[in-house]
Amino acid sequence: MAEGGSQMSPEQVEEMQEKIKNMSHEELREFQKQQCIFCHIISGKVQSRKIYEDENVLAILDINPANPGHVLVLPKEHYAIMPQLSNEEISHVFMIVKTISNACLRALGVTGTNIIVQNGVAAGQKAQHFMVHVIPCQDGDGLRFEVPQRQMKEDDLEKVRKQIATHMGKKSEDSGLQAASKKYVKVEKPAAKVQEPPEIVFPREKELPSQPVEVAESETVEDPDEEVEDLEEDSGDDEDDDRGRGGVNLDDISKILGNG
Amino acid sequence: MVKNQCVICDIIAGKVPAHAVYEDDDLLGILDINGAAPGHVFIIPKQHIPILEQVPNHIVGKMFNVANRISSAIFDTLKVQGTNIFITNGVSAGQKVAHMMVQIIPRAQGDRITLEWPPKQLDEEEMSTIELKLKEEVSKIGFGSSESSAPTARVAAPAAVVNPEAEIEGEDNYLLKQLERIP
Repeated sequence: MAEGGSQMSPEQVEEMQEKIKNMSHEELREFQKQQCIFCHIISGKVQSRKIYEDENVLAILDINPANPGHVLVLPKEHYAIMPQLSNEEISHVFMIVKTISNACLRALGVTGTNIIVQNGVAAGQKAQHFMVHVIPCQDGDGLRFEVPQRQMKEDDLEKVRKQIATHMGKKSEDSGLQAASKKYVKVEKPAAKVQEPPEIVFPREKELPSQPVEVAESETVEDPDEEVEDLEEDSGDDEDDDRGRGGVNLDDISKILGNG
Repeated sequence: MVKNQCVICDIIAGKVPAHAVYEDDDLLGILDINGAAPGHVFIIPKQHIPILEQVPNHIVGKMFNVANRISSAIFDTLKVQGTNIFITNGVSAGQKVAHMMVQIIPRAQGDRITLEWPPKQLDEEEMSTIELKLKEEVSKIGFGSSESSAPTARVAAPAAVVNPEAEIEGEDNYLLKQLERIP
């Protein structure tokens, strides 16, 4: 579909659609993987500019960036949307997002970053491979994201709150996460029912970027096991600096921000 | 930015009423009363932390797992067509309050939310320079080192004026020189 989409006759397209319809879940995923440009980048078939790589995650420069230094952080496994990732994978991906964002701030002379995940075509998702965008920003760069505000009615808020909180409660058993406590919410009894990930429309392959770029070998391949240890150490360090769960030396920050 | 001036900290302290959908020891997820769409939620660390780089790694992990679960809950209950998970990190990125938050924005075709961008084309040389700079910086920062959670002070938290002459020791000094003043 990616390569010869335009050359296929209507019969062939129909045949292909029929074939896809009859695929099992595993076959479909395998098929998506074969068609996925980002899986080709990950396997090295398509060249990219790699910023970071480890066993599970690859971070590359976007070839059509929103701003210079726009990085895509990709899990190496092919997932179409975020709910398909495990808790550990999500933690790992976003730890790297944090580091990439930090690197942008330090190395590129920018004053901010936008971090965006798009789940579904309606949310702007263009590729079938889950990714996190890290976009460096500074004043006057012309890049503005519009999130209009709406005055919500109290009744509607409460209705929506109840729906989401109840659903979170249902999911809390297997995840170890809790829904909002009764300080804020009447906690609904968690039900055992496990929900399938939501159905989302996936974007078509042809929208994907395809120009190959110069290869760059990544120097920073890390052992994920090592990283877990590091992470634990980190939490330890944080606690020394700033009692409790904080990782930030708040004294420093407030000193800096408070001047003037 | 001092904790007791922060409206988000007031919400966490219970001084300002909020519509919470999730809470644990470290995080709170609440509905935005001026959201872009019904079900617009933001997740905040309970500790006063202005930007992502300052959030400890174990809370980062938890935060995005919660974001993912809230996003799924929005899909399931509100029947939306998509969700965005969105962070504005620094004033120039559109951050409005000096308390780090992860927004979860329900999406539908034709809503007036714009989280897309016109693609730019950079020349090969520019791309190579950026690639090298970032790669070097990432390997310097590493993962889980205490440095990765050190203050990246150049990102101006909103509503605070920063003195670029502030004397800070060590390698963060060069960052501080470029501290940005807030409108």
